[in-house]
Amino acid sequence: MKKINCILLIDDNPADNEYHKIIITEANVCNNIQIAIDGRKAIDYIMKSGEPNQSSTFPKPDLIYLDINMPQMNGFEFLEEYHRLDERLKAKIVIIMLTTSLNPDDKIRAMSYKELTEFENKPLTVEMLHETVEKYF
Amino acid sequence: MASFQNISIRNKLTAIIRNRAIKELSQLNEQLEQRVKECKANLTKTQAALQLSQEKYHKIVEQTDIALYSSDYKEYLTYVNAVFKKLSGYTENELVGKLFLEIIAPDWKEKVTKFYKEQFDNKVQESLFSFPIITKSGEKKWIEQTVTQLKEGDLIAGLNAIVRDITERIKTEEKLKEYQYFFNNSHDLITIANESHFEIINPNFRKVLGYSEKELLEKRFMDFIHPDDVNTTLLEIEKLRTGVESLNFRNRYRRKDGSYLLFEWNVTPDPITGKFYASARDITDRKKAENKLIESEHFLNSIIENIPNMIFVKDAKDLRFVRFNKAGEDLLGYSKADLMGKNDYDFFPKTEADFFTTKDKEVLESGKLLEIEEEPIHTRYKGDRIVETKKIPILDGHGHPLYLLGISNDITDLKKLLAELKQKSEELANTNKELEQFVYVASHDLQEPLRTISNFVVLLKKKYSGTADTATAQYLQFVVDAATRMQNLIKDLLDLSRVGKNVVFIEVDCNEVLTEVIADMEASIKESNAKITAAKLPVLKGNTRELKQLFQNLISNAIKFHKKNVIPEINITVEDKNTEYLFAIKDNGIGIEEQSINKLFVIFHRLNTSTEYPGTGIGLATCKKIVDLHNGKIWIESKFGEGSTFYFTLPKENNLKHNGTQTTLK
Repeated sequence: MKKINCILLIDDNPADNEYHKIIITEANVCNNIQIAIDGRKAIDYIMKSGEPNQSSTFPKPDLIYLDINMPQMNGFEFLEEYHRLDERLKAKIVIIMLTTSLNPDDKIRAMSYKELTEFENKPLTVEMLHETVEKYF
Repeated sequence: MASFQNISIRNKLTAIIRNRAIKELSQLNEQLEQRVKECKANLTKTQAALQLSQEKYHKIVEQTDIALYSSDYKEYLTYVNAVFKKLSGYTENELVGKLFLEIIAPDWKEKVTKFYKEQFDNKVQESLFSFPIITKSGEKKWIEQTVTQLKEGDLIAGLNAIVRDITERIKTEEKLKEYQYFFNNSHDLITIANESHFEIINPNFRKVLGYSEKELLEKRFMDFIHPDDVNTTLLEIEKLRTGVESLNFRNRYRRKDGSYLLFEWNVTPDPITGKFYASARDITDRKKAENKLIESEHFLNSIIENIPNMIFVKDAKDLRFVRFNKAGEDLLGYSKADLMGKNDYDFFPKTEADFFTTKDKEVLESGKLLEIEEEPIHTRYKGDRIVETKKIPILDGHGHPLYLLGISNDITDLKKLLAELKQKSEELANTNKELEQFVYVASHDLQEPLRTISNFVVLLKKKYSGTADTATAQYLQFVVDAATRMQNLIKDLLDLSRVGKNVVFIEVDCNEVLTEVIADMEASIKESNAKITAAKLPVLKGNTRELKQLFQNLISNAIKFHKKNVIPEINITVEDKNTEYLFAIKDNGIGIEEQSINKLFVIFHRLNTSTEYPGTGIGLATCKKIVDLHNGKIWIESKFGEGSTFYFTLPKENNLKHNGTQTTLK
């Protein structure tokens, strides 16, 4: 099974983050799992990851799982902010919106952001991870 | 010698005889002469007498007031007297020598000729005959003439006629005849009566009442009168006795068949003879009609008076009130007596009265009904009210306005109520929106913790698989199942609450919709081996997302309720029904019992046990909501054990009934 370097989970729900960590570990696709509990913190993380000598503390994520509903900055706001980031920071990052929302409007809205790759519903499964890694890496 | 002697004797004798004869003759002659003389004298006397007589006669003839004429046997006039000349208007010269026939009225000439011919043929000496002549001035005069024939031996030498002018008599006779005709043929009942009996009655009396003339004349007229009318009739007779006329007096008369007729009498009494000259008219039918009219008037009146709307009528000329109903009195606070003959300016502020009057004139000029949706009106006790008024012109036969009819409805309370209702309904709509929003948000927010529970229970189950005791494993399974079911419930609730939200209608190709649905449902189709066939579906106005949901719910329903060990077969067809399409989704599933069909589209209503056929009871309610949103209808035909067909209609052209509210997540 292919392995990627780092996955960034952007979610305010610690239970979800814990669960996703277990599933990612179980899927055995990545050993470095980073967590940002809202969009603002995630942007900060990505900006930090571009700074020199920060790669050990803020490793650059290959894959981001992005929740929609979060305090401070929600998923959509994150995507808007992310859009304005330097291209070098964004290079090769795959962003997947991972949400509870079954609202097709949310999906349509999400897919309108060019930096977003996929729209998936929680819960994350081993199969989903394998498929994604297979497909994009 | 004897002879001689004889001769001498004879001679002697002869002389003697001769002398005697002469003597006698001369005596005779004298006598004769005397006689002639006497005769002559007599003749002269007679002639003088005759002359005298003739003159006398002539004088008589000329001086009499009887008209006379004579004619010869050919009827040429030979003589006319002065009276005849006066009667005919012609002069003697114009008449004598002319045919009498010439002055006879043209239409009588033949008749007169015929009459006299018969007279003469039958040798009737004298005859009387009447006929009209035309006088010189052209006037028609009736004459009666007695004609006597003048005979010379057997021959008719001429005629003498005595003529009387009977024009006046004939006129009187004719008039009398007319009176008689009138009397006999009048449809009124005409009688001359005394205080107790009819003395003369016209034939119509018999006809109308059915009695013989004898019966009517013999009995007292009071015997025919309705018992209830006897007293009033007696009083009326009392009045007549004093010489006062009776006009339009009514009483009832009994017919021979026992029924009663209502008579209206006009009676003129003759105070000298005590007789009554009376005419009556049978007004039974008129009275009935009058009664009907009164009834109908009463009927209309009752309606007008009791109708809850104000009804008023103004005369077209100067817009004064001529009619007002009770509702009008109640509304305005004025009595009919206050209102009659007055106009708007007597009761309302000038601006209002101006407005009413302007509208009135508009209606009367246009001749058309006018509806005034709202107009303020000042009332005496109820303050300012708002009325809705219809103004209608009432026209005469020539289309000219006679009256203005107004019907007003006091809508003050209604308007207040409507405003309240509007507010309430807005509140309700808001509540409804809030409720929907609540359901949406609640179900959305419920998802996350539920999923977390579900996730970790699954992990727990995995972690303890093989090591946990049977009971623990079973408990964990219960939690997993309950969480899954709750997740489905929330998902369906979300679908339902989302119907109509942020919806726009566009051209939707139903074939594409179906293809996407089948693709999305790939797993469950594969699992059940379901065979889905579909006709070519139309393109119509609708919402893609909702239609997808509709097809998906119905197809998943059909798959879900398949018969055990029978491959589900689902056939989708469509029929063009002019303005709409009729879709049918037919399955070979378990079918639905008839008594359950009506409950099918009710939310949370489930027909089957969850273990056998898991479901939330929301799916079909969502379908109904989607079809409603598309202005269509949805229903089902089903035979228990044989499968069901879901029908729904979708209009070809469509506009959104109501736009959903924007729902955003927190």
